[in-house]
Amino acid sequence: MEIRSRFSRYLLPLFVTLIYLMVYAPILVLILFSFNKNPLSYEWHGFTFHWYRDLFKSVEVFDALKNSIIISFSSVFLTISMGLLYVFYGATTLLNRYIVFFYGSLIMPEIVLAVILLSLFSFFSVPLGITTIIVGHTLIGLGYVVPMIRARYEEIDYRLIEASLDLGATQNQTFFKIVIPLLYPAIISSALLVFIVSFDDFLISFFCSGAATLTLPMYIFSVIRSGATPEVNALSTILLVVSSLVIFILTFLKSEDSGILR
Amino acid sequence: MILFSLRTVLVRMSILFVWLSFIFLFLFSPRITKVFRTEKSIKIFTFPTLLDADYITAFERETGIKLYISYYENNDELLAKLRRTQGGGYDIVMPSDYAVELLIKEGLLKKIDTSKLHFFNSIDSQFLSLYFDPGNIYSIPYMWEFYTIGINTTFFKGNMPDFSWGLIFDKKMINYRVGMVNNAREAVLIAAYYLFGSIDNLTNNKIKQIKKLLIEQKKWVEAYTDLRSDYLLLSGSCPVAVGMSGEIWRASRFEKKIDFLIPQEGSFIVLDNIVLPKKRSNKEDLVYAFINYLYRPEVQAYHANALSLFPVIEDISLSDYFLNTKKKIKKIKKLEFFKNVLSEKQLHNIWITLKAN
Amino acid sequence: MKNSRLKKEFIKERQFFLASPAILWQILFLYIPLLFLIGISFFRSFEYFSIKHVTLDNYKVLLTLSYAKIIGRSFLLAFFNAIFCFILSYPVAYFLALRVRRFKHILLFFLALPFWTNFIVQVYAWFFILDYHGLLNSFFLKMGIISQPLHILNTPIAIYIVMLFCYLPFMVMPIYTSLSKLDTFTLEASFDLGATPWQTFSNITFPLSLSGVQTGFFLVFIPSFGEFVIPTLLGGGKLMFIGSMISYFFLETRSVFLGAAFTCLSGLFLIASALFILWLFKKLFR
Repeated sequence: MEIRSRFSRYLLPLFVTLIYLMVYAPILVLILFSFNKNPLSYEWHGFTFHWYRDLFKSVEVFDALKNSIIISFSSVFLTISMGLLYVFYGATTLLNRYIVFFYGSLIMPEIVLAVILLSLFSFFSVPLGITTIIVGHTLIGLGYVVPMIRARYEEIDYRLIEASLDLGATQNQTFFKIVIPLLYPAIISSALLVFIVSFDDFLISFFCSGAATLTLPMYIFSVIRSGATPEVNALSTILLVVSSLVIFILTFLKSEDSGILR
Repeated sequence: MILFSLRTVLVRMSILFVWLSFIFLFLFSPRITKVFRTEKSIKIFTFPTLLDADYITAFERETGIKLYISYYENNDELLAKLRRTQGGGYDIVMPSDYAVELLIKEGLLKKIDTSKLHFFNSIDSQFLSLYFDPGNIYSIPYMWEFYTIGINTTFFKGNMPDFSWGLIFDKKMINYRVGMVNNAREAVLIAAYYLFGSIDNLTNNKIKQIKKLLIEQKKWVEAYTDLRSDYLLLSGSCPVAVGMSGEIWRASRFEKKIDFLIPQEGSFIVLDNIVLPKKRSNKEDLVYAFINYLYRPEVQAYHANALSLFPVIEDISLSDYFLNTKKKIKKIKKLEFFKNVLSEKQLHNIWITLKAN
Repeated sequence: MKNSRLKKEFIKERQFFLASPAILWQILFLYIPLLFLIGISFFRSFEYFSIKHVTLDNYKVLLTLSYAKIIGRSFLLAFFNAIFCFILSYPVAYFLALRVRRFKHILLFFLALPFWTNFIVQVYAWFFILDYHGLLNSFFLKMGIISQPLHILNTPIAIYIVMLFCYLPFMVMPIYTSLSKLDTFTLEASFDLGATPWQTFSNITFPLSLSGVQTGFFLVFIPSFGEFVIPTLLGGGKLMFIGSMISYFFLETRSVFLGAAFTCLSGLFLIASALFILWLFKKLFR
């Protein structure tokens, strides 16, 4: 039997509710004001959809969006393929010991990563742009993906892999037909994670973009600095809705995943 | 420690070499694909309030040349980017006068062939051959703005203060917050102007005084901003803000109680130009086509009126704003350029001390 | 015989071939550039990237009061941000882990959600609350708590508030994870043996959640140390932090080597403070 003091019965839930409210208040106001007729100040003038219409007409937004999507998908592809190959094929070699190398990008503040990449690229005169941003995002992505997939890989009953090899499958066949299907939930959730990290990333894109490459977060940042209209609110609202859907899928998969292993 | 056989080492080295070359190819692919790119396009690097991106899509429709526009926040960012890429990356850049001087000095610009420009003769001659590019070899002037102080008249309740830089610097007058420019060069030169009436001959002693004034001013600065002075005024955060004429005019158009004044001691003018960064390019025709388009009377008139910029071309139909403002300008003593009188190192030192404290 | 040995070797090398790109990527784009940055911080030259000579000059320039203030300010921001996050997060994590049965997943989902939305969007959203005519001021004015709108935006207070709420999920998650691993039988046993709720908490619950607290602390402290976006957008350009200073060096000046030196110096300071905090944890809680 638990003794619930007055504290935890009333004060605690109240406190937690307050926190949730304060976390969500700005976002709700942001969404609300995306319908605000007033373009310049933060006072409510009337309801309108025309910022959304302006958004769809804007060429810059679509360019930025296109860049963001290309970069995110490429980063996910590179990260997942390299990560999977490393975890499986590196499992029995020396490379296994070097997994510590992947923790580096998690330990450092992102601005340091951005700056060292910029220095490297400038020194070797690498043309800055989409490719360099992809490199940066893949770097960060590997730091998330490799530990996650490794953790899930270690949980797989090794006897399954042994059995497959004993029964005559080559290493490749085992990889494609056994290991990957077993790792599906981990692959998908880490892919989604990398996608979101890459899509939302600002610092690396800001430093490593060259001429005329804008990603969506960079666009929003520059608009905020130079005078934002509610068009940015409209864009933000759409991004919020899309991210929520993605996270919902992720959470759903995660709960299903832990159900499978039980 | 496991010792590998020589063969293993060699094999592994070559494997790593293979991967490295893939990565190398990936990183340098833009250079290679550029050769194959057949799309007609030009990349423009400009300040946010100089071009109306939606309006000039008419150019794309007319000629089929796609425009990629990106923006810089201030001229320091522009200089850093162009230095880093050694002039490559953009086809057209639109810096301010003092930036052009530095770019020319560092050899980052290509000569402009004024014979290809149909409008060159209709440029007002007082904007040609200025201090930063005598002879207009590397640049052509585009539009200009001047610095003003925007004020919220309701705050002053009819007691309109003197039109002077003291509004932002004189601590005896100030019991409110101000918006200040977020640019080392501009802030320092404005302070110099207020203290000494001129930006020439800034000795170390004078620089010390400027530093002291700026640090003192920080106490009543609401925010340092390049482009948001209109927002500062409109949101009521501060009744006084320094900004460029275009922004403040837009604010006053939106809200009647905002007015702008030109300090009686004089103010600063910023002339924006079109320059071509130095790089091998086969897009010359496209670039000149765009420049000619930009200087068409109707395009100039649109930009001038929509963005409240002063054109350098004569005979453009302008709105009342310009006529009224021109009257105001005639009353002031002089308009100065933000010349490069201090080295970057000196500016950097002042700015760091200011921002760190 | 020879065939199968060759085949084994081939398989081994093929493994290396397939597994090496990941490690190569990390080394090439993380560790080598890091060493490169440390290296160039010792160069002093006036041409962009052409080397004149090796010197400690850059560091000498940086050891002045202004730069020390910037680094110190960033440290205080990171440290206090972590502490404030902790104060607000622990009750939330405790509530979610030990007090909620049915809606746990939904509440967790809603807590994780802002973390996944675009960071810049989140920061921008706070403008509407903290502005002169924003929600907070309008609310307080209507309630009659204040007579003049509070001046929050463009002050350090705005920076602290927004950092707090943006980093909250980073602190809640690890604490929640370690609390949810707690065996409720242990707690029940404690009550049965006569401990008051507070005693149970301070002697059992809290110490067992310490690893989560430590993880959360670092998850907040380290990124906050180099934070760039929030101080830039909300500080009104009045204060320089390490993030904005590094950005200024690399994007707006041509003193790249000085910037490299500054980054290295800040990095050293970060490592030192991280070690200090680890020591603090050991001292206070073990």
